[in-house]
Amino acid sequence: MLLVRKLKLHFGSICVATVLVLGCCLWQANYSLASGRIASGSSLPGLVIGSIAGAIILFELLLWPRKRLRRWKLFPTKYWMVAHIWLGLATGPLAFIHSGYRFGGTFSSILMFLLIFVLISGLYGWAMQIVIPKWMLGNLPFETIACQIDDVSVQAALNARRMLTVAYGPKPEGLRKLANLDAASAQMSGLVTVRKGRKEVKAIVVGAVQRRETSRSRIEINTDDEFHSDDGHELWKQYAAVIEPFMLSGVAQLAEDTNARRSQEKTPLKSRQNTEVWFSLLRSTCSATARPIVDSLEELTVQRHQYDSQRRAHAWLHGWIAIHASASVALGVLLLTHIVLAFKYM
Amino acid sequence: MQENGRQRAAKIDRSYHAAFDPFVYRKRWMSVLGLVVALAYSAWMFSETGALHVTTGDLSQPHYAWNQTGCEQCHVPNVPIRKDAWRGDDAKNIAINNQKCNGQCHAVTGHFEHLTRPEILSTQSCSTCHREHLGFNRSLVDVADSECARCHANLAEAALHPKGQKPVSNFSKHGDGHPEFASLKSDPGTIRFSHVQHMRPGQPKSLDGADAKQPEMIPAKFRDRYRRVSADNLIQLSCSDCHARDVPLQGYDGLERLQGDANNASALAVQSTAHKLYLPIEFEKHCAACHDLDGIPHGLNRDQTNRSIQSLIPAKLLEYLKDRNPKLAPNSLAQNAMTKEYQEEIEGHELRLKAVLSDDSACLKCHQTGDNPASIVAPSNLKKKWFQDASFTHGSHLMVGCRECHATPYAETGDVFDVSLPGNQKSSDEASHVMIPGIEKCRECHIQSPKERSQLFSKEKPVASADCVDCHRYHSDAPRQAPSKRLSETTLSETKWLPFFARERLP
Repeated sequence: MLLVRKLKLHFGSICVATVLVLGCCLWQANYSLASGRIASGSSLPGLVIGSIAGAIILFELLLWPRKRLRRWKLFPTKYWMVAHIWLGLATGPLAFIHSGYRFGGTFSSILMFLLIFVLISGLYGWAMQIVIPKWMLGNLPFETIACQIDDVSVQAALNARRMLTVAYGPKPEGLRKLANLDAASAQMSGLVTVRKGRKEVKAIVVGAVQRRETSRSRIEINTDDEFHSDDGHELWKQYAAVIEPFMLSGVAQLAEDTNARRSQEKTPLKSRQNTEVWFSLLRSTCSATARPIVDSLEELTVQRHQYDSQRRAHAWLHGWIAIHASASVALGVLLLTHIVLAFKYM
Repeated sequence: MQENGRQRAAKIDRSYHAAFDPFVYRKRWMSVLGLVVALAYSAWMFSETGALHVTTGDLSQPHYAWNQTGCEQCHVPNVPIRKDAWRGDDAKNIAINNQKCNGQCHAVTGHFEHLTRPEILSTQSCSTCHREHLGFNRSLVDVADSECARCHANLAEAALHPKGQKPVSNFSKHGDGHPEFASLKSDPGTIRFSHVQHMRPGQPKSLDGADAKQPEMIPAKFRDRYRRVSADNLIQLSCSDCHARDVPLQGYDGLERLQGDANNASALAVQSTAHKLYLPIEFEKHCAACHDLDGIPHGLNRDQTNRSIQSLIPAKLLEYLKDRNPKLAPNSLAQNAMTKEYQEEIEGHELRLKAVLSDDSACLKCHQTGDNPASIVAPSNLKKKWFQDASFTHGSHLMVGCRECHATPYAETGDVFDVSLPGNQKSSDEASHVMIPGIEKCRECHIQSPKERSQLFSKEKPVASADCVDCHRYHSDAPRQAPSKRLSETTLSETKWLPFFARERLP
């Protein structure tokens, strides 16, 4: 149903683009046959087709001002984007027909190559926009706002500390020093009340709860349980040395901390498989009462892994825009120059 | 209790949308970079050197220097120069552009303006036929056949006097696209000359060879020139003994003596467009060895010949006296010359010399009598150039030998002129027989269809194009002004930076 709706959305623009290209191609072919030579860009059909292609390129560039003026709600974005894609794709063949199937001199060749580059970068971006979000939806349940990954990671670390503090008391002396998260800590809320059956208990919520896989993302710790101090020492030790440095890896405000950086580089939690093995070992060294704590720490680590994946996916998703936009701007300027020079030396 | 929206929202900084986003930052700065680079490139392109990027290709050799001097040398801003451009066929624009070519540098006449309708001429711009920006090696006279056929296929519309003009649409042997060569209809020459006789060993008039010549029978000064003899020690002439090239080509000696090997494609390399025609025959150089005029110069009119005879008599008399009495002193010659005996001798000599003028063995052996009393003979009317509306370059056809096209002189049977020749001509017709083959002979090698040409070429047959410009030129050779900057002043380094797709390299 979604596919049908999407096709319906694209159908109009596809039809317009196809009719435009075929119509222009036939007109140019007819004119060429009549005149005995392939109609060049300065011929009547060449000029008209070139003008159409130029107008479409200028329309494509209007996407930027439209974005700046989105509060005016000029035109529904989905229609605009569909037109942007299909009319934009039509400019390639239209420009080629306009030029009489030639690349011409240096300038016109540069213009043509630039147009091809813009089209290819746009197609790449379109493919990314289709593939990556779908992949993220299926594979990154902890997805958050990309620019907030650092903040959320810091808060996750603070939550983990709080969890350990509540369960085992403050970090014992002599263990590795933790990163300074005071500024972020001041903004944190306290414990939350969690309903467990008919009973309400104090609990710490780690990470955002999502509808998918809620059982994995929500960790509840009953404060009435008894915790062994030996477990506390071991968990604090591993948390300070391995878990927290990994959770805070790449956090900008901690980049200067060389100890943290060294720990991040040598972390045994680099891959998902390693993480699983490592936490199994940790779990085996602790008593049964510490299992929920270890589980929640593992969950936080997995969350961090997902943030890293999200960051990479985000780069694939949005990295092309800078190249596409800069090439498009250059194309727009050179197109205006081409128009002026073409009329001058036609 | 499930985490509510407020709690979830608390984890996110509320001003996150205002936070630094590296992707937005990169997009912004890359766009600025694209804008700046494009603006800089555009600004540069409006400069003199930058304009080279606008061109669609290098100019041809005659205009090559202008690659460096700006588009305005030929282009009038905002006036379309291409015929197929929008408003390009506007008579006003054509006149402006033609004025640039024909008024400033060239001084060519219009395209057959005395034969073409003015309204048709006014729509013909120079650039319609002469396509520029197609590379250094592109010939400007390499005009597409279709450009010629636009008018020539329908002369009723284009010609000022279309009556009698035959339309031309192509050179294909299929169909009637090109008429037979009009210049070859008849030979206006008046010389009685038998090529057949002169190409036989010893040049005998009769087939039995009774009067055949040997090298010893001609004056000593000519013997070296005619040293080639047949097996019977008879003088054997070849085409080049009489027909000399207008441009001597080093290393191409003896090609005229080839038997004609049009199927030898490897010989195609032997050609030069420098040599176009053969020089006219000169009596003193090519005929005098056998045709002695007894000391009278060739090519004089009647009065000049009479004066020449009078001036020759004393010398002839002296020879006579010396023969009679070799010991006679020179001062006695005058006294002896006054005697009656010698007066009679003088008159006899004069009569014999004057007989040269009317005798079939002298002038009238080759020439015909004319109507002009001042001349002894009628003008020879020998054609230097047979094709009046076309050009033929012999240098491009050296590889096939003369006999391939001019087979008549090599006839070996018959009286003087072979009865097996086309039209069954008799010997008396030979002098008026045009020994240049017609269009069918040209079409054996000049194939218009590229496909057919390619097929023959793959069989190692000699083939050539059959474009209109291979034979025809349309403008007279008017004097031209030198371009503002000569090609020799343009160095290769000045143009080296042009990309490969925008120009052809200098050779």
